Amino acid sequence: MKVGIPRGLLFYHYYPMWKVFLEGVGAEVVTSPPTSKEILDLGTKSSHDDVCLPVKIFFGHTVHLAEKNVDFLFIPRIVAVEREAYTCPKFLGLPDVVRNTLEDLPPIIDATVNVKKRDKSPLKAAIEVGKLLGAPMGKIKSAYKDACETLWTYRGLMLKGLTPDEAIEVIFNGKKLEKKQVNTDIKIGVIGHPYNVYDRFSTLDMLGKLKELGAEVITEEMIRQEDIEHHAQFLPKRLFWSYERDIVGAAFYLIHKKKVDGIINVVSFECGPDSLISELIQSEARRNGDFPLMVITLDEHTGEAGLQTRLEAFVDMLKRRK
Amino acid sequence: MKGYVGVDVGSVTTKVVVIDEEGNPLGTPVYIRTQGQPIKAIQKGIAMVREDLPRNLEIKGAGTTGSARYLAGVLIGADVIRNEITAHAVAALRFHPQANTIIEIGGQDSKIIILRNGLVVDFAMNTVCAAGTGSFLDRQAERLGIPIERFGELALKAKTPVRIAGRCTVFAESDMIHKQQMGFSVEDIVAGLCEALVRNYLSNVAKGKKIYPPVIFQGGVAANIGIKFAFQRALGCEVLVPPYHNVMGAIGAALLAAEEMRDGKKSHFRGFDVAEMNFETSSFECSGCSNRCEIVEIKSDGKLLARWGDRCGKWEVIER
Repeated sequence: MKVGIPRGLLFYHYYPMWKVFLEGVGAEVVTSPPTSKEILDLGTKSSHDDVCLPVKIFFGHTVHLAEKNVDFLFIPRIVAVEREAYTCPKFLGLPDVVRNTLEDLPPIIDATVNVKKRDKSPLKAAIEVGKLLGAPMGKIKSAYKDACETLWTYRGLMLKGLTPDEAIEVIFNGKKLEKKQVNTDIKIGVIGHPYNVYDRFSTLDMLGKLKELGAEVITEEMIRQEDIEHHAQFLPKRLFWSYERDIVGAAFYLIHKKKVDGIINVVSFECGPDSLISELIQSEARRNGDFPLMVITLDEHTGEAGLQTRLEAFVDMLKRRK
Repeated sequence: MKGYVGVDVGSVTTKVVVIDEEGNPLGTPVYIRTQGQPIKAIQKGIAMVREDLPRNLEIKGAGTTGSARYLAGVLIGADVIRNEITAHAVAALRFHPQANTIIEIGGQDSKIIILRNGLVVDFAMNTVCAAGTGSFLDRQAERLGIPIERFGELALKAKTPVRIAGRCTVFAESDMIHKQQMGFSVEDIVAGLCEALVRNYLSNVAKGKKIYPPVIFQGGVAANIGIKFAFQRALGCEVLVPPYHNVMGAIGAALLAAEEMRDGKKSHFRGFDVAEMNFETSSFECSGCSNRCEIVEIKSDGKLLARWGDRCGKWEVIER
């Protein structure tokens, strides 16, 4: 059984866990290649509504996998990952949206995870998927255990400063964990959805460009969850969406603790939650002695000049301030 | 005598200056239209600035800025290639060390730079839309059949500026036609356009940033006295237009070159003969992966000077 996992959206959050589980129950896992012009084109061609850029990219990856003749597509419905909040509405309906937008797709594995409901726990979802793939209960449970352990390993590696891609290399290809040579004069927090921040194509390799400009980059994944939680509590009201609350918490932590010289907030055009949390981050930066903050909006355009100028100017500004 | 060359190649105009060590322009600063041919414009600019330079001048450094800064850098052999924000800030501070705000409006982009104690603390540039920029005014001036140079003085003659939607070029145009059909005077419409541009700038580019005087207004559009007055009315403070307002980016690039070369390094500047050199460009699409990058090559007499445009870096060459 070949199961395809599109390289988009929650891929960056959960891929190692999903892969270990699916392989544990006897499936072969394939993923789409990193986002490229071809993948984006596939995605924009098939999306006829105003969906956000990351979803268009996700469509592209899905179509690419469908063309590779996988037996199943793995697009779980992640409704809630904690009791007090939901995920962005697009995740609640993702398998349906994919099914109703794209044609000629293989069957979609769309088990629901909703920790607010007892019968929709991650384990229940795993059992549902395992049974569908014909695995016995014993195998499903041990695969689930391994998968959870892998998720912690993955997060641990990212806490040490690895990007998701690097962490995946370490976990699955036995690459040695290299101590990073940090020799820079400035630190910049790049804060936004991981599927935006780490997509080298849609960000026009922002992280690489910053590195070239001599900046060390800190992302949300490098910050401990308890720090994120603690600083997210500075909001007068709890945010409705889990992943977005983490972004706000990460940004607040960097601002309050002055862990970086400046923050770049990456948002995508047409993203509802981003438009709200970006304002929250901006006003918090203003309240904290005009903490240096730049908002970069991603859309489909591939003109690098505009981004390059903004990044250079931001880095210059932070360096000259020192 | 020591001199530094600064080149600022923007989307609409190309600026070339030579300055002395203190940042004063030597000879006549050049401000010409790029006309979609940056290489030709740079060569022409270099040829023009060369005309009336002092005799014993020795070029100790060169800098480039603007959206074609990398291309310009390769062509002239720049020692520093810097973004427009830094270049404009450095130049403004040279003439107005107390500046707290810089408004810069060029052909296709506009910026706001916030300074405190001589340091950039915040900035913003317009997003993809060019509604609040020089091109917008150019286009409307053309529609009204007024030379852009006369735009400002006409605006000052207005008695009651009409209200025009400045959010979007397309809507502004239909709004303007409507006002024309209703019989408003050209002066009132022109003044209305100036106010629309300023409104658009303040709500889209400056977006909630605190604008404190001294406010410096530079870039090509600063030549338009109508816009200057519209800004003064909207901000309620004086807006200063520096003497070399339209070549400030180039002056900034030259000042940055002077800063870079302070320790007596040898400059990479190719000399003013750049004006006579042959440059050829060509391009091809790389088929190495599905990104299909468009690669551009710049050659001079068959020698490869630079190649870029690839995302992976396998084609990249920048000759110094």
